[in-house]
Amino acid sequence: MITVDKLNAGYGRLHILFDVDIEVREKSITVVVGPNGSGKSTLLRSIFGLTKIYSGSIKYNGEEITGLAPHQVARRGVAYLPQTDNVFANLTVRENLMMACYTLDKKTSEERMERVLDFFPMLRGFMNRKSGTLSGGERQMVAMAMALLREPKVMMFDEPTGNLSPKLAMEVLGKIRELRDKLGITILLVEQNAKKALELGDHCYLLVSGRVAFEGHPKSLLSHAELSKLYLGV
Amino acid sequence: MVVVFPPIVREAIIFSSLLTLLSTGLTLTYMTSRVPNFAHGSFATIGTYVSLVAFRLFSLSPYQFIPVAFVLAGVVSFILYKAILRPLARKGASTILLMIATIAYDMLLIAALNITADFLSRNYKVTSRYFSLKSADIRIENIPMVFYAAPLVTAIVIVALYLLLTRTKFGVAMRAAIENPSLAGVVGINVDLVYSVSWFLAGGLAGVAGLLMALWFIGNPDLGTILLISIFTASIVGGLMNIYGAFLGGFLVGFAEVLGTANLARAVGVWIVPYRPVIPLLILVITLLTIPGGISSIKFERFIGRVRKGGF
Repeated sequence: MITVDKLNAGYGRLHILFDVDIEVREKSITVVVGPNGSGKSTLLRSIFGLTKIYSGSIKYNGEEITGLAPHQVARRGVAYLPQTDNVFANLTVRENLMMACYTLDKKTSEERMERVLDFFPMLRGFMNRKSGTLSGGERQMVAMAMALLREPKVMMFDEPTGNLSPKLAMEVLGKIRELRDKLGITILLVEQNAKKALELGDHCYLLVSGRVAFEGHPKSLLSHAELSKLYLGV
Repeated sequence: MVVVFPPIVREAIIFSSLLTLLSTGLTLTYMTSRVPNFAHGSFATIGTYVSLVAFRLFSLSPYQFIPVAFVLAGVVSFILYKAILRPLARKGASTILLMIATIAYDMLLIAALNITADFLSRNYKVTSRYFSLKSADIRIENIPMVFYAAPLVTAIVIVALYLLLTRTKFGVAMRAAIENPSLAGVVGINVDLVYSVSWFLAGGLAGVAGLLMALWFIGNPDLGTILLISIFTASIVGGLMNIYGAFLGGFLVGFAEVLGTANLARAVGVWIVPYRPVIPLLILVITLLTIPGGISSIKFERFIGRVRKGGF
């Protein structure tokens, strides 16, 4: 689905990713874990056209998307949920959802809105509230609903449980699992909360200092005493 | 019953209405690209010369040329964004560098306006410096139409902008792109298009303000440059990041400037009139010292709440 090949990327002269190879398989959850500053977020941002690509390629369903503008990647069916600022705080929940349907016609937007609100029923009560006034978990749900409205084929999450209470974090991860199981969406998940994320994943990568240090089944990584102790704290 | 305003109040109403149009545009461009645009005044001067050309060369009412002034100044503003600021920003230029780029563009515009003025006077024998177009205005019961047109156009723009920003998909996308450009890109909004439209609109509004200004004030290639202090003050008083604040700032600074100068002239003598820009400068300093975030940063709800509780 998404193939990252020998990717070198960063911000200006700050080189962060070095020859990174990643394969995201269809209708699966691929988890990327690693210590702080290992380049996990940069990887997602690079796929989404938000960093400087020095070399390498990113393909989506065989099509070269390296260096495309974010809205061009989004229009191909890839949704990206940033770690922070993933909703428009000054807009109401309704306006946020409306923006998520920006490229759709009115009829399709309304139909999808109903479907997504059925998936996140709690949002019906917040429609006219400014997103900036919602709690972290509620904001995360709005962000997920916004991504879902575009009926993406791939959803990329950047630390969706960051700053959330354990209970809310479990709820959010549960919703991510539902996205794969009920809607067949391919997930690329970057998480600091490594253990929980790996339990959810079908395939995983460990990034260390901008390089892939491990690739394989999450259980293999969790059972790798040295790596999990050194880099994951589990 | 017809209310007859004294001429000085009329001038205050006209000036503050047009200043509101100008400060709204400046705020809009600042909100989108975070660049203080020093060429904004000259966009207005373009409108002033459209007014002159309409009346002297085509013998038509300047009002008929409002769309021309809007499009021409809008295009000049769009070029500044698309051809200069955006490429520079993409190369990582700092705000200071971008600001200097707008000053350079302003110099180019002033030169072009001077050339236009020379061309008009040499080839068409038109008074193109320090000209007045008061005689070009239509009079309604002996009151120049600009007295009605300026506040009316401003009111229409305020309502239209409000409706655009709150009721249309593109307007909400503008607010979204202003708040968080990278997230706006993520959800599929073409941020560059949104910014381009903002710059075009801002320039267009300045052009219309300049066109109407020519019907009451003295026109000259440096008219916009002189107005720049008032425009910036109005925007900063309004909050610089709030378009509705710019409306308030425009009226507040406009009235203070015109009525303040008139009252000072009455009190100390007409020699004070050339020092008129001191008033917006003083307002600017006071605002920055007391409420740097401008009027829009004041939490009026808390203030009203305290008053109700008897806190004041």
